[in-house]
Amino acid sequence: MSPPPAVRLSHLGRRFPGPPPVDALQDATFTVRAGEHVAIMGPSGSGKSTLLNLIGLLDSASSGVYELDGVDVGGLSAQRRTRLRRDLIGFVFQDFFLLPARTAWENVALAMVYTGLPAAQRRQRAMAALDRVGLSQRRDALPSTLSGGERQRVAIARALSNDPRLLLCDEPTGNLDSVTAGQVMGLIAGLNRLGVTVLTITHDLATASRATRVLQIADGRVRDQ
Amino acid sequence: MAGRGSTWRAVWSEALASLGQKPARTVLTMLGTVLGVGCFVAVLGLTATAAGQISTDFSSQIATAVRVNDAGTNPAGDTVFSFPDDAEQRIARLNGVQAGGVAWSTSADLDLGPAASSPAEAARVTVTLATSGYIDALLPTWRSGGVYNRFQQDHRLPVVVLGPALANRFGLSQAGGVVQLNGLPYLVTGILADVATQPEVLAGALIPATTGWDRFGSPTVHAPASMLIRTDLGAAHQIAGEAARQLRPDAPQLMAVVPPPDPPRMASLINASMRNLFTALAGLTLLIGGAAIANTTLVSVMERTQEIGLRRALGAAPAHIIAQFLIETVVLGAVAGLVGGSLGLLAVIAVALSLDWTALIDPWIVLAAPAIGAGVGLLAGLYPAWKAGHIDPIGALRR
Ligand SMILES: Nc1ncnc2c1ncn2[C@@H]1O[C@H](COP(=O)(O)OP(=O)(O)OP(=O)(O)O)[C@@H](O)[C@H]1O
Ligand SMILES: [Mg+2]
Repeated sequence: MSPPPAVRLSHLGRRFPGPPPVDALQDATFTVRAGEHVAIMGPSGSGKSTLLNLIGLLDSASSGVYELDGVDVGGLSAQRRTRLRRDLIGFVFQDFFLLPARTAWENVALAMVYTGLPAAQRRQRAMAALDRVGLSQRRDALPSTLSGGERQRVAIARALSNDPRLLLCDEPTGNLDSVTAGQVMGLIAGLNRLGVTVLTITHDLATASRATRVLQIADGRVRDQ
Repeated sequence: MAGRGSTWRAVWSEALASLGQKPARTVLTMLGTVLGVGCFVAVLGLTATAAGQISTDFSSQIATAVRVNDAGTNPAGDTVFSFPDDAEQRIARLNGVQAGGVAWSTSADLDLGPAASSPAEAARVTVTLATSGYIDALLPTWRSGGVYNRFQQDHRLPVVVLGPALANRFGLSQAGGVVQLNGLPYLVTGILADVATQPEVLAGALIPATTGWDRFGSPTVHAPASMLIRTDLGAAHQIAGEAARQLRPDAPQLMAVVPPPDPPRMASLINASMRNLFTALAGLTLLIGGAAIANTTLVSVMERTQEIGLRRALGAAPAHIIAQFLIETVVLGAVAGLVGGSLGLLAVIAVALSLDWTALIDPWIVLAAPAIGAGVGLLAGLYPAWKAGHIDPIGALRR
């Protein structure tokens, strides 16, 4: 028996109740199997971030069904959704979102603040995660002293420090030059090879080419091809 | 999976870390609450210290004075005098009495007589016709000389004690001179410097009751005699209870005894309005301090929208965000309360030292200061924290 798909969407929609109301996502119907690396490509405003926020349980759909690991999350309480997000999902954003006053390792350790891990273990796992992205020597650096690529690697370390099952990347290379972007995508591909299911949103072909499968989104519609 | 306790401990350290990141802002935010709590402690401490001071002053002067008024009447005429002739000796026999005597007053013209350089100079003055025990009971201090003696009183001699005002006015600096009352000469046995009670005698003159009875007449219903008894500290109420029967065992109802007022009640009466005013001012300052914390925290919530969104993405529940900001404001308030309380305490001690007073401060207030600050922080943090907890993560993470 094969494990349930990591993500299964059928006719998922999200309407922002304006005025005027905006159907940011009209119909998302596709499946991401565990261990896949799926890239989603589409023009600006096509609903990519809206889709990712729904999959990341930061937002709730207005219609359709979303199953995460075989569980329909539509009926879950806010508390359950928060816990699923904390325990299963890691995020990487285009803008890194590092806290400027915290060092690299403190930023990584932030991912474990809400998991109940004791401080010593948070620190230890943050160091290990920084080591995995090749930044152990910059662990005490403030984000302002890091390059863009290094900042994104810290953000990836933050996402992976919590051992996520599903890594959601929203334009992870959007602020990076092509060489640095290649390094960052190499890291993400490496995580995927270790079993992490990855969903990457991008409009960069080179970035999309690292995925095992590419889906196109347009006008809030995306289907399995 | 690790416990919930660790999560809350982690939220706690996150809050402290955020406070430490902007130390200048943190200090400025605390300022109003520091001042408010400081004022609060200083006001309460200073009023308590002053109250203690006033009540010790009062208790040594008023709490030891018992007054006995003449309650007698005389349907046949004006004269009323119900005290026994040996009132002074009788009352002195009671345990705890330091001095006591009878007096009534009248008025007379006072001048320096024909020997003076300017005989025209005369003054209408109040003359107290008093036994020497009465003057002793006033706890007098003397500029010169002293009270008239038993011999002078028994023989109804024309002797007088002058208040400092008259002595100044007539240029007398030494006892031993002569003044005239209603044209008759009196030997000045003493010039008062001050008295503990009845300050009005300082403006007039005192002559023996015996001499006065002969020359000015008896006390009347319009100017009745009364007795002043000076007791040991704490004996006043006891003596007030015994005085009437001791003076007139045959007719104690003629002696209307007035015990001294309760010193603590008096002290609190004196301070109640001042204390209320300053406490209101301290409360107002606290309110402003709380508003400052609320305002800065609200600004900080707005500035940290992205951080809040990120924390939510990393698995923070709204309760965690609310707790983080509440902890920030409560800790801020508690530290401000601690600092303000210490400053207020120092102020009380400094004022007390400079006035040579004993600093009196309720230890409860010192302990309460950080709690008051924390309370202000909690109230101030409620709205900003609630707002932070309800920030929509997807909006916060949008560029
Ligand atoms: N909270 C909202 N309220 C109203 N409209 C919204 C809201 N969020 C997104 N939209 C709209 O939904 C549409 C899809 O937005 P979304 O952010 O998903 O696009 P995107 O594909 O991520 O674009 P980009 O490539 O520029 O990031 C846009 O037209 C956007 O204006
Ligand atoms: Mg987007």
